[in-house]
Amino acid sequence: MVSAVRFVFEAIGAKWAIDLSEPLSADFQETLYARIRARIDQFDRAYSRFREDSLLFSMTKQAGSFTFPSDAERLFSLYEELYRFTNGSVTPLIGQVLVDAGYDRTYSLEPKALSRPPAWEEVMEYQRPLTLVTKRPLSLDVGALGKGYMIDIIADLLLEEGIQSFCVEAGGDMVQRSTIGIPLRVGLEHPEDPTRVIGVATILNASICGSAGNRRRWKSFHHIIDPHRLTSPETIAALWVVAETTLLADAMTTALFFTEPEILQKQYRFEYLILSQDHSVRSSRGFPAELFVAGA
Amino acid sequence: MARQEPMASPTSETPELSASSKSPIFIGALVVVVVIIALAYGMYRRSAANVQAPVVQQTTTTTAMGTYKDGTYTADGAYTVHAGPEKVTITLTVKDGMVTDSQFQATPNLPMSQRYMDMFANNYKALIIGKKLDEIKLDKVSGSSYTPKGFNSALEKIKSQASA
Repeated sequence: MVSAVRFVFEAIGAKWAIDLSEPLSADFQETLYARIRARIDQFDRAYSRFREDSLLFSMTKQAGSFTFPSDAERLFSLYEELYRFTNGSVTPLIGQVLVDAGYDRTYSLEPKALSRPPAWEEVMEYQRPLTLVTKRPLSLDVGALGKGYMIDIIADLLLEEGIQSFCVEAGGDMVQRSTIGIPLRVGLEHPEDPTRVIGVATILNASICGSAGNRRRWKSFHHIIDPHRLTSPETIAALWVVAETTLLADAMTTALFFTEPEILQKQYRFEYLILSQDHSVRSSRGFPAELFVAGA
Repeated sequence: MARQEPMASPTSETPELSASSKSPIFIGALVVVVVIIALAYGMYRRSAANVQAPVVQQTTTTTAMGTYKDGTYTADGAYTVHAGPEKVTITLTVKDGMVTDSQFQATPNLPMSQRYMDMFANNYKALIIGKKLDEIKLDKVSGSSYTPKGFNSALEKIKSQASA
């Protein structure tokens, strides 16, 4: 990847790397960087469950009607659809479960007794396009889709600014655009050994997201908890999804921990690769990767 | 390839080679390894312990092929279990010194062997070995790298408390 401009910074708990193929004037570069940071902060102030000044945090204090910024529609409508499609496995109501498991604002990582999250329709209503009406205080978490969506939003910001070839990456999830058709080679990190990759995915004008249970792990949990079983799924070691948007790719990486890929593919267009704990691999035909497997 | 003694005593006979390639090459050692894996897998299953299979990652197989010519090689491997002799056939396709494809054919004499051979056949192929990051050219890496700083420091704290 040829990068003429590169922004590297930390935000929403992730390392960001934004690469632009074309050079920019120093002034414009500075303005652009400020806009990017402001946009991320704006998103964070609405949807973070880790900061006390967020709209999401205010929902933990009282019931009521909460109207979100204009970017909420794509986020909430996909959440609502996925909630139904995965029988409640992908749910923003997992927030309280994560907190009880110890994945809270202070990272206490001290699990308390967990209880199943309430059913969506029992405690809140999504009034399109931007409003959530709640019947009681709720701890929501939009982590399954939030980061991917944030990446798309920054990509849109770049396009608005007339920048057409770039890669926006946050913590291993990314979108790439290249008007001259130069693909991006993305190593698929070995879940047990970060100095190795299990293969290389090649993407062009697409997004890739990955998820693995190896890093954000504490006690018997990792970052994904099954709301029905109240345990973290353990058969999948790592998985990756390639899709047209990072929002969808991110959503599918979570959904695949609960729902069979064939079922999700009836509704959504994406390619996947799942590495199980026993090191066997399962992937869709179109997953654009070369794998390093023994004997194959 | 590192010499590896058979775990039980399964690999008594020298595998017979019937290469369909222009350049038949002795790959008995490789077949022996595969047979060991098959048996190890069987034993692992029998012990039914909830642990990772022991011997399965044989990265040496590919490196050992480094000097072989392109072609397809077939060999039989014979071994004896407590109830009698068994035979498996393995076919490898080699290109540019790498095994690019492999076929495992089971011809069991015993019903029990069928089960183990099937299990092996279903699992041996897609075992990930991976490559070192510095062996390949990459633009990016994707995995579980999304780990907030606060999370890691909290985890470290808990670990140090636990070991105190």
